[in-house]
Amino acid sequence: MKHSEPDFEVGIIGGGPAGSSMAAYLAKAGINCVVFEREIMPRPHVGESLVPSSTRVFKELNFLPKMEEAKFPHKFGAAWTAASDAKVYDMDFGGVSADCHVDVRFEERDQPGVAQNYTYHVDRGKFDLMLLQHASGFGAKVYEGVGVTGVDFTDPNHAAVKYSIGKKEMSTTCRVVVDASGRKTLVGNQLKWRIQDPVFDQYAIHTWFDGYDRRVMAKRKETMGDFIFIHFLPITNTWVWQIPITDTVTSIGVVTQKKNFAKSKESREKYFWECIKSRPELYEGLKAQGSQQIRAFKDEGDYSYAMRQLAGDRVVLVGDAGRFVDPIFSTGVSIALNCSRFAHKDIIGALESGDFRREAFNTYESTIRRGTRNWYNFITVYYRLNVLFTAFVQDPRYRLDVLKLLQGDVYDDAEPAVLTRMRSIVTEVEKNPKHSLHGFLGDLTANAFAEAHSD
Amino acid sequence: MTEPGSIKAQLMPFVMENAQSKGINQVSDDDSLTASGIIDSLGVFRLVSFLEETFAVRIGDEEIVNDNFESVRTIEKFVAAKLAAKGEKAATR
Ligand SMILES: Cc1cc2nc3c(=O)[nH]c(=O)nc-3n(C[C@H](O)[C@H](O)[C@H](O)COP(=O)(O)OP(=O)(O)OC[C@H]3O[C@@H](n4cnc5c(N)ncnc54)[C@H](O)[C@@H]3O)c2cc1C
Repeated sequence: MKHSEPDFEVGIIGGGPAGSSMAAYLAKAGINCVVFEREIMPRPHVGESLVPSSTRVFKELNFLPKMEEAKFPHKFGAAWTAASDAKVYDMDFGGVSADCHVDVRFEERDQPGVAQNYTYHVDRGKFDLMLLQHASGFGAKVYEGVGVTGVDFTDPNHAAVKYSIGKKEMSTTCRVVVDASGRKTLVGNQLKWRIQDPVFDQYAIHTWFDGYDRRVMAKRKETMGDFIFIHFLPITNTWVWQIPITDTVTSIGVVTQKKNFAKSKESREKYFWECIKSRPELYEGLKAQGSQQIRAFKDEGDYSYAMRQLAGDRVVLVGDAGRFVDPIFSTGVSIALNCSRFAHKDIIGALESGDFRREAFNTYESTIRRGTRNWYNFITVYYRLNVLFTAFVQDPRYRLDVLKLLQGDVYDDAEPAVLTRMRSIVTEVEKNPKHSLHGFLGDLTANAFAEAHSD
Repeated sequence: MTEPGSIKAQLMPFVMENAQSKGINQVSDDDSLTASGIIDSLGVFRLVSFLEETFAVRIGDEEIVNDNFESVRTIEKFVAAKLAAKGEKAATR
């Protein structure tokens, strides 16, 4: 049989931020690509607060004007708060002091290639739809309501993306497949590349409130209302996010260790409120007259894993489909977008050269591994010796370097010096029981950096 | 009495400021600063920066141990030893 041309150059599984930004980059470069999205957009999604490194992608894709038109709340910074009764924190939250309140403004550090000193908080239903439409505007084909069931890599001349429409099994051929299926990790599962994270086992429950006055938790009420807030709770590794969605709507989520979560839905909701109650100002704010919960609770579990590889012959994994750690620094969407920023170049290169072996995607794989390893280590420091994060943010010698990480600029260095410094302190504190900070270690594994590095 | 300019004289204002913010008005030389909460986890970092700046010494991560930072007396002893070591280094150069 003669080999016909494949249906598309590139087939993309998933129309979240990773998939649509990939489609936009490729279609903008004139490449014939298709997105398969299981849901009918818009659909709700967790992950609503961005970091500034996403701005580069929006700019390259001419998407910034649309972000402005959509009137998403501008995010100028981030704040971390703890309650005022010190002892509880010293005992239970791996070393958070009473005065651990810290905040940063993105404008404190100029970011190369980023002209604005804020990023955005987004309603993911709206944002994901807009980005997908943007990709379609560049000429990407979008199939909504099509759930991919697997990819057939057996034909040496193309890959076939398989799905069913009604009772009919269908498939679409392409030269390269991009897995952007998020935490479903479609290709990673199929090829058995997925490794569950041995250290992080977090769980989240979240919802939206309308009419909650977000300033109740702000130190400087005039300027910080639209920051993201991370409120520490006096329970190990447990915290609350507070993310503005519109002028009046706020997303609130509790992240905790999975073992704290009961099986039943009712008791999980009860647990949400128990957690919130441990910060009375927050509880009162959410329960105040005029504030009401407007979405059902949703929970997210089992979300920390890595992949043995991020690319293979004819396939590239981007966004959550490639790795997920922990949402503490609101980095997921930005990583997803930056995956496409790096990977689309290798994909275009492969299409030009006709070489679709794993090596063709090397630049992407090593860049993203470097970036996510830095994230991983930063997050690990944060959970393992929380006070270090606070101390470094407050220390003028390190503040801007930490801010660089918080802005999402993690891809250039093998390891940023500030992270090396933090890591060596943690290692010293871990191995020396007499160290003054030993008692403040959080209860991750005994040796925080012994992660299952997948490379 | 504290000698003006002595290690203790320079250390005490820092300790008292931390103590007072925790509602403690008196600190004697052997009081445990950590057990009393005068120096909490973040306070450890502040203390280290304070000592490094005030006495122009470098404190290694491995030196941040309870034996050195337990009380005003142990800190004083620790700083004195650091200063002496520094002096010796300078002298042998
Ligand atoms: C508790 C929690 C809090 C978070 N908070 C933040 C935050 O504040 N900021 C932030 O940036 N990130 C946050 N994240 C991370 C963020 O949600 C993700 O990193 C981000 O959505 C990744 O984008 P993606 O495009 O890779 O995947 P997704 O956004 O999940 O998109 C994947 C898409 O693929 C589709 N799909 C799945 N399987 C198939 C299939 N078989 N066929 C076709 N389509 C399929 C899905 O329907 C979905 O639309 C959080 C995550 C969690 C769990």
